[in-house]
Parts: sequence; C-alpha cells; structure tokens
Amino acid sequence: MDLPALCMSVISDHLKANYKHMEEKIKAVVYDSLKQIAPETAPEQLGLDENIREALNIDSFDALQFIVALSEKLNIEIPEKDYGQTATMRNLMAYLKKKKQV
Amino acid sequence: MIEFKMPSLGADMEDGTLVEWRKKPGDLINRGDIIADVDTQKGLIEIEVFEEGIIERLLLEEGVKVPVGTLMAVLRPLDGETEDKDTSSVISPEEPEIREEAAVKPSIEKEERRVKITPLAKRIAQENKVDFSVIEGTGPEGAIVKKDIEKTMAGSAVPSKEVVRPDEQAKAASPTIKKELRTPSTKAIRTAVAAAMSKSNREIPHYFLEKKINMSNAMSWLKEINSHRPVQKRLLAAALLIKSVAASLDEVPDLNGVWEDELVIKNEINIGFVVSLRAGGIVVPSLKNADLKSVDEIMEWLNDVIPRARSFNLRSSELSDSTVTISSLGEGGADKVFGIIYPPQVAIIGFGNIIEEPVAQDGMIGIHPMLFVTLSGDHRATDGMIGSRFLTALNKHLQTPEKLGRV
Repeated sequence: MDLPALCMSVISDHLKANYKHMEEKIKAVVYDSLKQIAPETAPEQLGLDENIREALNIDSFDALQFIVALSEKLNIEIPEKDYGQTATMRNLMAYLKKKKQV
Repeated sequence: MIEFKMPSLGADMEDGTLVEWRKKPGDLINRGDIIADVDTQKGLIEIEVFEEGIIERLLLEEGVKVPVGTLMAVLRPLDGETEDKDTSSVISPEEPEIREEAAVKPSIEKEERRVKITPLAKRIAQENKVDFSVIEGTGPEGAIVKKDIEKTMAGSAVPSKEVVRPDEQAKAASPTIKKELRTPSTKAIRTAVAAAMSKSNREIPHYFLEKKINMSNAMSWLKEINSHRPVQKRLLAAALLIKSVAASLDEVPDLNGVWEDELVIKNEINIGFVVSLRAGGIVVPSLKNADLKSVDEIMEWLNDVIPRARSFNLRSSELSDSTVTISSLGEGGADKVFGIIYPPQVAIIGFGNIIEEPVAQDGMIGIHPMLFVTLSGDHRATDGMIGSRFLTALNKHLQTPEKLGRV
C-alpha cells in the first residue's frame, strides 16, 4: 500500500470511530457561527425543521457570512446552488455531514 | 490658519463630546489623519482631518460636549503663513518626543505582522496596554477579536483591583468609560433616528413611486459569476443594485443632491446604505463616488463596512456627505419598503424582496424573479416625472447586468 492510500485508510478508520464525535463537532461549529452573527440568540434551541434565517432574524449579508464561516471552519466548499440545503438544522446537518463524509 | 470644528455627521447630529485628542500641539497632520475620538448618538467616531498642517492649539478639553460647528483646534498650514512667532518655540520642545514616537513605531509594526488581530481589537488592546501577542484568538482563522481582549482585560482586572492605589484606580477606570461610550445605547440611536425622521416628515413633502423589475437577467448573471468564485468572493444582489442606482443617477442627476432652499445637484454620487442593527436602530455608511466603483469594489465595501457599522467602528468621513440613500431589505423580508428621506437629501430608494411571480410577456406567461423597487422623492426638489425616469433607467440597467459588471 502506498503512503497516500495508507493515510486515507487510517483517516477513514479514524472518522468511523469518531462518528458521534464528528457530528457533535460540526454542530458546535454551526452553533458557534450562528452565535457570532446573532449573539443575543440561542441557536441550540432551534427546532430541527425551523427556518434558521427567519428564526434568528438573519439578513442576506449575515447569511453569506454564515456560509463563509462554515466553509472556512469545516474546510469545505459550499457552492451557491447548495444554499437551499442549509435552511433548517435538519437539512444543514445532513448536508454538512455528507460534505465531511461522516 | 485652518480652523477645525466639530463636524456634523448627519442632519440628526446636534452636538458631540470630545473623548480623546489623538494629536497634540506641534504634531504634523496629514490628509485623512484621525485627530480625535468624538462620542455621538451613533457611538464613538474617529474624526479625520482633510487638510494638512501642524497643530497650533487644541481649544477643547477632553470630556467636553459642544454643539456642531464649535471651534476645536487651530492648525497652521504647511505652506507659509508664519505670522505667529510663538509657534516655532512651541514646536521645538516637542521635537524629541516626536522622534521618540517614531522610534517606537517600527517595533509595534513588527509585532503586528506576527499576530493576527482585528483593527478594533488592536486598538482596544493598545489603549488599555494589553499585550495581545500572548492572547489566543477565537475569531476567524484564530484572529484575535474584541471579545478576546475584553476577556483578557476582565481577567486581569480582578486580581489587580485589590492592590491599586486610588490615583491608579482613577486611571484604570477611564478605559472602561471609553468602552461603554463606544457602543451607544439603543435609546441614543433611537433618539438620533427619531430626530432625523421627524425633521424629514415635518419639512419634506414626499412623493412615492413604485416599479416591479424583472430580475431574471440580473440573477442569472450573479449565479454565473458566483459559481466560479470561492464563497469569500461571492457577490450579493445588493452590490449590483447599488451599482445600478449609481448608473441611473448618472442619467437622472436631479435625485442626487441636497435641498438648501433650492435643489443643489451634487457632482459626486455618494450613496448612503442603510445598515440595520440587531438591537434596533440604523447606521448609514456612505459609499463615496459609487458611480466610479466596480461591482466587485462595492461588494468589498459592503464586506468591510457592514460589520464595522454594526460594531460602531466607522470613521467620520464614512458617515457624512451622502447625496442619496438606499434602503435594502434583502431577500425573505417584506415585499416593499417606502423610505423616509434623510435630510437634506432629496431621494431614497427602497429595494424590497425578490420573489418569483407569474409574468405575462409577449402573450406568454412565465415565472420570473421580481424585485419591488420604490422611490421616495422630495416634491420641493423634483416631480414624479423625474422619479419615474429614474426607475425606468434603473430597470434598463438591471436588464443588462453584464454592462454594469464591466465597469
């Protein structure tokens, strides 16, 4: 086995072992980013199917800052056509987990 | 002699409190240098000077509240005018101090290169003599933000409190006062907005126009551009809308100006962009020479100015001299906004929601993203005809976004 492949398999094993841990980490990044934009809100209390922007009163500019924060902190690409998949906590978590291949 | 007076940062500003002089007599002032921090209803504002000279005298003590237009300092111009003999003797004793400052600066700059820190956080750190090189940042990419500095200050303040002597305590208290001044209360902002809007409603006979604009071309253009860009470089519709307003005002200049017992049309197109605050209230930073800026430059301006407006960290020049205002609600909110003109301006443009609607075109019905645009005009300055021409020009420009994007 060459080195990159070995690395990949080690990483993938590691990720599998830390499935729960990773999900919690992503959730923490999401809450943290929302907190930074809307400090007076409690994003942890968001319902799974609640519209995040409406519930926390986030405008177009801050919505873009939120996407920037997520892509930088989680080191992923979020194309504009995928913005629709980030509207609720349920959709967003599913989308981010898919992106991080958890 | 150059007279430096308490500037007006909008029709709603009546007075300001000098919080701190940033310069002392004998200091050289370059164009754009910050001379003082002034507390207004809009928060603590850095006041810039747009003339060059050497400070002759500071006429106001820190902590004093004075009306707009009060003489604050006298500057000696650099070219000639040496009639005041005393000045040379004033400068010479200061010279060693100036040299000392110059010697200190490079080391500070060296430090800056190693540590990632926001300008606001850096300033608070420097003001309070906090060594930020040892602080771990919690901002984007580990940058040190205001919160980190405040946390450090709060942490260090507790144990030191027990040992400080009374006079030191007084000294230590002043940064705290300044910090409180930096963020104006919701009530102060409310009062400022109330004053400007009451004046507007009392004095300006408004007329209101509305146009629905098909945004198909504009949205496809934005989508296409953004699909090739990393998220940090993506454009918001607002950037294109600001550009289209600037281009339309170029064609219909009567709406770009101020009312001073008659319409005074301005050459520069400086667009005030309403930024709403989460706790209520608004701040209106001004985009200077908007017609000369590209859509990318306008987006960069928005990225820079909106967070600073929300954290009350704008300079005096960024809040003054607007010749027209845009109020943009963004997507997802109310469909239309009918603005109240910010005096002494003569127009405000309101951008509402963009929603998909069935549109009849050439005998066919299609679904298109539609934008609701309104114009509130000062009827003393212009008539509905002018306003209508402006909205027509705006529609025309938004149908060819690639042309707006080219400039």
